Amino acid sequence: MNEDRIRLIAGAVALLYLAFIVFKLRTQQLSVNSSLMWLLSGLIMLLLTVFPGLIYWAAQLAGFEVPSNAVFVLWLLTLTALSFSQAVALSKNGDQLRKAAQDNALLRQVLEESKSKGSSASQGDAS
Amino acid sequence: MDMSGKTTGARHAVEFAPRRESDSLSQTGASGGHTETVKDLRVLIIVPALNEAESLEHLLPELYLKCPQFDFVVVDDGSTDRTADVARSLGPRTLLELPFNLGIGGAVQCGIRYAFEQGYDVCVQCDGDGQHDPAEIESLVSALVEQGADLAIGSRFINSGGFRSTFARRVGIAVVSSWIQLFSGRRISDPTSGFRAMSRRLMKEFSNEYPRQYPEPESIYAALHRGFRVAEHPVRMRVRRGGQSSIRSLESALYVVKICIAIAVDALRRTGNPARK
Repeated sequence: MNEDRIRLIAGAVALLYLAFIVFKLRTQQLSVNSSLMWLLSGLIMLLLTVFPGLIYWAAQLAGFEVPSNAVFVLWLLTLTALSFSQAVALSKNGDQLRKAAQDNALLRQVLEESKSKGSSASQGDAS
Repeated sequence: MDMSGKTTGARHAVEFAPRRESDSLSQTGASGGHTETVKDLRVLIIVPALNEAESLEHLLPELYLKCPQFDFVVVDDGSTDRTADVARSLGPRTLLELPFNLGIGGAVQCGIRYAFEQGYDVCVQCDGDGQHDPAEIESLVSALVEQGADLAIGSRFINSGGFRSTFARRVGIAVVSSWIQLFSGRRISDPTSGFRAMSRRLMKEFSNEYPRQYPEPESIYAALHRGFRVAEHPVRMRVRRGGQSSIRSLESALYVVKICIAIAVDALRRTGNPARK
């Protein structure tokens, strides 16, 4: 009875979670590329609430004494992998941003130089 | 008044600024015979600056006075004070304005890219805080040319004299120095010195990739690791006129650790020996 209630809540949470990801995708606040891991995690959540036997089976296979520990470890590894992949993506972004900022400064210099050349030339015409 | 015209037009006409009497005899002698070669080079002085308006008001006129034969460019690293205005008031060729703060590595790299794109033979980094005396630039460039080096580091530890930093800093510098020696076999006495001259070959390499956070020691190791020649030349340093060191005291210990990690990481990388190309 208790277990059914937990499964119901977990299933609802998983559905909400998936719906939220799809909403973010639809409004283009999340790129399809980076959504894959999140969608997958939501689907696994849903799968496990529908077939909780999978957890018991997997935990026993890996040698966990308490099945919930298997869930914790799995979730921890998933989150670590996700945050690491984000650190990698951020580093790449930083590199691109640095180059773009430098390009901006270099182009601006050229622009200001040509502008001042133009103004001094027009002054010369006037005199 | 267009002062920028002077920096290009007067390069060959203007004689070198008189040397200071405090310069050692060997320096004067060394650069004396080779003034012609240095004179024919196009040299750009890169002045990275973060909120250094006050100091630049002194430094930039000093650069015009002491290095009339060289061009210079201020790289404003997202300053919130009048740094850009001070630089701009001296002509449009004298300012690269970054849209936001990149840190010293990104700022210096921007200057290096500019120097490379504009076809300069040599670029010199001279920090905007007034620590580096423009009177020393010519001899630094001479050292680069005479020793056939790609990177000439102005070292405050070779000869005595001038401002030599605090004791804690010197300990940190010694650690970094030994670390570089461990990985490269070369002893560099002043690896954190930001006063340095660079050849066009090295500019090309550093345009593509330049260390970000602690560029001074890292770039020395990066140059050595890629087969470039690194030389040292004695300089005197002054006490900074304004602003704050990019290395704050509390972060010093961490600074040393991070540099050591960065150098070890670079040591693990394959470089393909770009210096040979």
